[in-house]
Amino acid sequence: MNKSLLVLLLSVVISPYFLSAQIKISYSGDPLLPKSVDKIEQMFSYISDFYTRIGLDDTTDVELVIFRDRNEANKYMLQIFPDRDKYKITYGPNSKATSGVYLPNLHKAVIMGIGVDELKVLPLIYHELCHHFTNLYFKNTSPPIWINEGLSEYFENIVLRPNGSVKFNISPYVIGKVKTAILLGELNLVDLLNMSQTDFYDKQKSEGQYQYPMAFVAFLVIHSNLPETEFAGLLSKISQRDTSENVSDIVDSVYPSGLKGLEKDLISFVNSK
Amino acid sequence: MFKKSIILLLFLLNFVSGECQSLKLILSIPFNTIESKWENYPMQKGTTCLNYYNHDKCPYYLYREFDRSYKLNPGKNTIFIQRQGDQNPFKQGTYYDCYKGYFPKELDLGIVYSFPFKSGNIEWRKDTREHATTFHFKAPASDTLYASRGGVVCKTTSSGVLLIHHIDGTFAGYFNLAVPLVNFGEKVKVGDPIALANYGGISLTIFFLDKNLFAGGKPSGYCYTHISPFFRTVEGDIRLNSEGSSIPLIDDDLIMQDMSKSERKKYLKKSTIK
Repeated sequence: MNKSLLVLLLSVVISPYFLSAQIKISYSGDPLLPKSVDKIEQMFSYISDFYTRIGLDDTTDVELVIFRDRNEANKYMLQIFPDRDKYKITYGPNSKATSGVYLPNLHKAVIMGIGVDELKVLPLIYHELCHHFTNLYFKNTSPPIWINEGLSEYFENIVLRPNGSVKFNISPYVIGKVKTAILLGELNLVDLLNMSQTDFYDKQKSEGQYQYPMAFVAFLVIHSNLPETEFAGLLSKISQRDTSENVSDIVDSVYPSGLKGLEKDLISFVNSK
Repeated sequence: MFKKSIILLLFLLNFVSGECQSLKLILSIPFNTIESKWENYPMQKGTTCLNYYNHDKCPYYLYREFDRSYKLNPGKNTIFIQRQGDQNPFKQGTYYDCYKGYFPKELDLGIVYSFPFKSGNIEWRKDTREHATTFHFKAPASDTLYASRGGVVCKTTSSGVLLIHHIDGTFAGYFNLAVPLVNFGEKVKVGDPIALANYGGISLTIFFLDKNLFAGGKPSGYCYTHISPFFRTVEGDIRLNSEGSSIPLIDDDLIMQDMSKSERKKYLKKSTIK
């Protein structure tokens, strides 16, 4: 056989295994229904494509651990969570609600207490899996919390239609919380964009619970008003920033008309809903 | 020894009850507070009307399925009048739900509150047991608690909490009380004694029914917004951060804050005479 043709044939056969090396999910804990797994894989592929387009090149796999029973989940978490006391304070071993957590050091997403209706919990699964990608992307530094939660909320609220199109939902509650935050003068973009994870969760727990909605809406407005390449550029600058650099200054330099423009666009966005 | 055990037991019981979702207690509606009745319309024979009776002292938000929402003021509220021969669109029973309070028309974010305790250096911290902005004020057991702002005492399902409705539609919820000193329906002014505190002190939350958290007439989630208002101290009006201490101050301005012009005149006249 012609050598060139052989090389060409081999590269066509072999190259997909290298070029399409993608992050994979391994499943453990309680088994999911096949249709749930299908939906998760579809959304996972969609998220993976998004991150690849914005420059993610790390392909570390993720483990998705599912618990139907909340008590079993708590026992599991108390065994593996690095800081047992912190786990008790943060998640509450007596909690009965369905919740999820992503453990970045272990590349695990743990979904706790899904009960019987697992299709309802799929958005939460997407949310936690998305944290895996965000943490891989920001491998050299902690992702700013508004990006980490904003991206996860974004993918939590996407619906992939059978025809391949995407529908995006934003709940009236999120819009309502941001409207109220604006009314009460609680919208402070500089604080939000520079906020540490600890402060974010503290404020979310003990204040007006504006943090998640504001992070989500801020992320949405930035994402929708920047072409994808510029959005990717913004994330890249933030991921490579010096520790002394403020995230808000970076956003100010990239977003059209800066932070003032962002605030104006955010207010218009919520008022249009 | 026996007395000490009883005190310890009471402390533990109250500590446990203080932990138990006080916000839920404040917001739960006592049985029969809102009643709906079809009654004869007194002004016209053969006419009936659907009345909702609000037996509380604060307005309520009423959501009715297949209908719209209403504001229920204290007392009788006529929702619908059916004249003789008219069709009754509500022939079949309708689901309805009620929430304490109504959307404030205008919120003045500059309104100042008073600390719930009067004397000395009062310590506070954010009360993270509640899911919404709430402050815990430290005080010895049986210390007298004072109204942070004037209003009317509303119904609650527990004697360990007090709910006061203010003139602008906001509420103050006081938790972890040992003995209330005011009754349902009483009007209080800022600085009036309203309860005795339980062990450790009390918690205070200021909130209102938030229109932004309703969609299609129904709440889209927890429908109240809790705020962090200004409190008057000897150092000036401050917003409380996560923890600290201050010496409270109640002055004439604070007392007159919610008064009408004529009430202020009367108050100032009284003060001058004194």
